[in-house]
Amino acid sequence: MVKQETRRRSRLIVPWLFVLPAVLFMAAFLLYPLLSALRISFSEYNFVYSEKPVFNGLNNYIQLFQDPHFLVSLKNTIYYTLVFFPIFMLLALVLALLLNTKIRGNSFFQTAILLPIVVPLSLAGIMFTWIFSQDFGIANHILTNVLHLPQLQRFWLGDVETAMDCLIAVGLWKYAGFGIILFLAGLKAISVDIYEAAKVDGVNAWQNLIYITLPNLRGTFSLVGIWGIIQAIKVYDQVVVMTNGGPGTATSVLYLYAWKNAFTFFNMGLGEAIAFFTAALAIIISVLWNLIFKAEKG
Amino acid sequence: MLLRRKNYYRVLVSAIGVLASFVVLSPIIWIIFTSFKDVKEIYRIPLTIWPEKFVWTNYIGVIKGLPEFPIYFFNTVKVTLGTLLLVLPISASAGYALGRFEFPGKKMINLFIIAILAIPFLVFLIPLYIIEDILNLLDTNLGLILPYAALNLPLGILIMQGSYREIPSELEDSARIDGANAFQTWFKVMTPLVVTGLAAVTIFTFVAVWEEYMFASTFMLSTSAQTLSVGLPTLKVESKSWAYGTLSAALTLSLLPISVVFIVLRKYFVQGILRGSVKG
Repeated sequence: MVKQETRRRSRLIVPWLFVLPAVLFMAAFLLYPLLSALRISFSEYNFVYSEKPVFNGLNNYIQLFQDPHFLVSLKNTIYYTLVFFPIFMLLALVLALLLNTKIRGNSFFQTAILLPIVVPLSLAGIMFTWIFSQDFGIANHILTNVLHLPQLQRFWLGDVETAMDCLIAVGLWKYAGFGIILFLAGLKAISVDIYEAAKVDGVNAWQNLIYITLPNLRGTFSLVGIWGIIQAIKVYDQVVVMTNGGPGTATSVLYLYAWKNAFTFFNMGLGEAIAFFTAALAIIISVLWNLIFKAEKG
Repeated sequence: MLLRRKNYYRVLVSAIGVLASFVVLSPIIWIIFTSFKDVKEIYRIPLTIWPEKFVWTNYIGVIKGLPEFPIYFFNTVKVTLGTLLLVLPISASAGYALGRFEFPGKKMINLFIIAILAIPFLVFLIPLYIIEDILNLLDTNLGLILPYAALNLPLGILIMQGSYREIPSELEDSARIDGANAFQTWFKVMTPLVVTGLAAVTIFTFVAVWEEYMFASTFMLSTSAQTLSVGLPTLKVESKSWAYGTLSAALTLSLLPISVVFIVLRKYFVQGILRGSVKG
């Protein structure tokens, strides 16, 4: 009896001992900050003047929607997402379908295309600022001297029309490879037997793609989609380095505006409210995206 | 006939592969080429692509004229290693418990981990800044190691949980019959079997820390504590533009270590994606 009791207790204690360091660490550096963040978002809290956060209900959230700068940042983030996301998905899917072939150099191609994932976005920001620069940038050089289209030459990052698209290009450069690798992994997981059976039935390559490959990639679509949406909504690093929101507010995005509120104006409450709004936006769109691919299943 | 069409397809795919690789690599190649150009050549119009003469002056410029560079570099290395030193053992031990035991609280922990993975890190930035301000951790390496470890733990635990779960239970049972205690079973019997999982956690954490910008730029305000991803963009000269000669050499030098680590561990990176995403 006694022995059984100690055994039961050790069966409880042992796993908790193993998981305890992680739980303590996450409680201190994730759970506590998360709760504290929630409180700050519902408080008036200037980091310089206020002694501590003073509860002010939904004020920060209400204030946001009356703030034209916030609305512009929201609009810009949505624009970024609407351009980034379809191109990202299409590039990732098409290149993965193509590279899912036994050809020489395939592993080199995959490594090369995935390489930008390890290039810090802020450093990519320096590289692309230079590439897009007016006088010594390679983009203008190629337009003028290689393609002989000098009329297309412009100050890419200083132009309201093109600045955001340049930032999107950097995001695509950085993340497309990761999408390709995710799709390739999804393609590899489809059983060869299905294609063998289809071959016997005389199915052509196009039908293969539409009726076998794409439906079997549903899980991957949901995964890559969610990942891509989150990368778009949290765009920040290259914006700070390349345009810092400019020209004017043309490239001000949610992350940047939250950061500026918190660490330039020290209005922590407003900054945190934007942060939670951004989180909610990312989660809601992810859930909706997931629903599309679940609904089709039934 | 069919065979010939297949060959055409292969040639087409290879061509697209070459083109895509070229497009993706060209900005990096451009930086590397520039780093070997003489400064006069860099700022000469029309631009040259292939350096007319290969010179080392830009690299010498980094070593002699850019005292910040080694500081940024070693801060990045210290922070990366420090984070790994925390993330690897903590995620391995937690992954073992969650992957092989049933116990009260397990569901809660897993739910919390998934929730954290869904929340953009921006939410944690402000409270962690306030905490670090109180604890005097701003502008210190530890001030980055602690949040980085915390933010990278959830994915690490997920990957390790999946790795431990795959091990057949006979091994664990026989270890216990041989009289090994729980710690020995975990450390000596089970952990050597999840080396691929640990490699995946290593590469994910390594990359995440090496490229992180938002936390590093907010918490590390003085040069002495900054990392490469934060420090290099601040190196604009007075005229508010970058000195591209030394900068291109500095960029090449900072991308080199991470690229080597990545190319060596790429296999585990891809396996880790599968494990962390599909099973999580």
